[in-house]
Amino acid sequence: MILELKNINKTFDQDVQSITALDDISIQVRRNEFLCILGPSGCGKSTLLHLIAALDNPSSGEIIFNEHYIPGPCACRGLVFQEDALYPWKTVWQNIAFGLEIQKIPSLQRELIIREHINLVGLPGFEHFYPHQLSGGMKQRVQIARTLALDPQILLMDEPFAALDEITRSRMDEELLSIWNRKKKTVIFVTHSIEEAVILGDRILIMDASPGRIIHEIINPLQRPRNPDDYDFINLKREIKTHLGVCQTQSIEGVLNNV
Amino acid sequence: MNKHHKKRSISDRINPKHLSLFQTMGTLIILLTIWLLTAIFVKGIRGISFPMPWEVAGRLWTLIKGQLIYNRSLHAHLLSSLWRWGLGYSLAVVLGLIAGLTLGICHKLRQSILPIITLIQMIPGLAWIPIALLLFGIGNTATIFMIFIMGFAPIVLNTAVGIQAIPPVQIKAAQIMGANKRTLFFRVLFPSALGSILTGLRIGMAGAWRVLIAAEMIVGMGVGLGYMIIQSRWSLDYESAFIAMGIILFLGLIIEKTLFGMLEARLPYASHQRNKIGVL
Repeated sequence: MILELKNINKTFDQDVQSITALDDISIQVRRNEFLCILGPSGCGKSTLLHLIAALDNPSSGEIIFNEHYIPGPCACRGLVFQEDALYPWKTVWQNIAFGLEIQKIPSLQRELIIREHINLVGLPGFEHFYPHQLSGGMKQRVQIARTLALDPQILLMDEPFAALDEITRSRMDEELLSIWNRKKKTVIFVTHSIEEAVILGDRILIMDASPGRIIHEIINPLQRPRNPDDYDFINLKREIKTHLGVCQTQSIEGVLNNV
Repeated sequence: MNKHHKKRSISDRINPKHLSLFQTMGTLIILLTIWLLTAIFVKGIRGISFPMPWEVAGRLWTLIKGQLIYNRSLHAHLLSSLWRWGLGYSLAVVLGLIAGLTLGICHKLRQSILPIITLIQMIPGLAWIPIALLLFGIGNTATIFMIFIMGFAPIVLNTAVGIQAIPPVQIKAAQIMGANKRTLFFRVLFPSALGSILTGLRIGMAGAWRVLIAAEMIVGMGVGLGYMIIQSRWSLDYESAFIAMGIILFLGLIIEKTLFGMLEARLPYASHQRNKIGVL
């Protein structure tokens, strides 16, 4: 068990009333597991990820990482954001180098690590490009490279491909899986795309909003590589939609019976 | 052979180096034409002689050769203005950056002080004259104070706003990578605000330069380009007024192109926002 969340609550005080963003969340994450957290906007899934990264503190509950409480943000729990997280005044190379410089990695070793990770995300030749010269997908690759370069024990991903078009997103999902296969990391991946969760996750936690809570857990039975057109894949998506109360999953007979 | 030639516009067919030369010449020709038309118009309608470009050029030549104007040489007026501007503006840059960076990172201070700076920025340069005179009396200090205050406010505002404008995820990303407060300030907040700081320096420079001339006209010390303009008016030596104006423009242009051009060239990521869209 690399990470354990025990009875996490998070409330935000807004003017008079307080809003419950997370209600009694308990999660156990195994080493090298690919865990997806799936839910609609506003269900607190990003908040949850920020708590794990220690960018914010829970109102109550415990977060235990490698059998210790977490004191604050740490490169060992790297976080990939949705967008805008690259430094626009730094080139691809400099963006990846920044974290390594902070960690005081000697320059020779630093260069090797940067080179390795630029190759890992398939961006050789773009070292001296600035973020504004890159496409959305390329920027996210740089972010992944920058985060992985610090060799985190857990890779936290906060809807990293949500701002990309569907085609690019599918490609990025595939690449992420191949990186995950090579690097063998624990990944917690937050998304609002059902298909993405089914493609990626060993396990899927389904969350719902007001208050933000986990409503269901699914161990993904599908063999990798997964094909979104397979019968089992579509069935699993349907099952998730039912849990989320998305109506179109009901059969016509079901609708007629309810009338 | 590719037969589908894209129709190219005129400006595409000219060598870019030549194009910028043409553009500069175009600007000059337009300016001269406006000048000539104004001169002809004024003479025709009002019957007053308006300095022609060649008259001004001739007067400039006598001044460059060393003829005194209002008891000083031309370059004495020029240096005196430059010196006042340099001192006032340098003060504005140093104090403005310190104040702006402090306000940028200190939320509580910002909320109470930034509105004051905004107010200061709205006061026109000349309106500072009574305050400058009350504080320092007639003399250099009053002029330098006015230059300082016109440069100071925009530098503070743009620096503080530039620091505030950083996307929060960029701060969070740095925190996760292990940045302490020092690293966060010097390697994240400050560089992210540089584009905005440059804008502030530029607005401050222009404001300081304009008020310098105005201040020299009124609280001047009998020397300076502003003094030269106002004296030429009384002595009907309009050619000299034009010369002073031309020098002011020219210096502003040089400062803008060299100082800010150099600074901007070091921010390649900041210039991509400017587009080059044109119909022709």
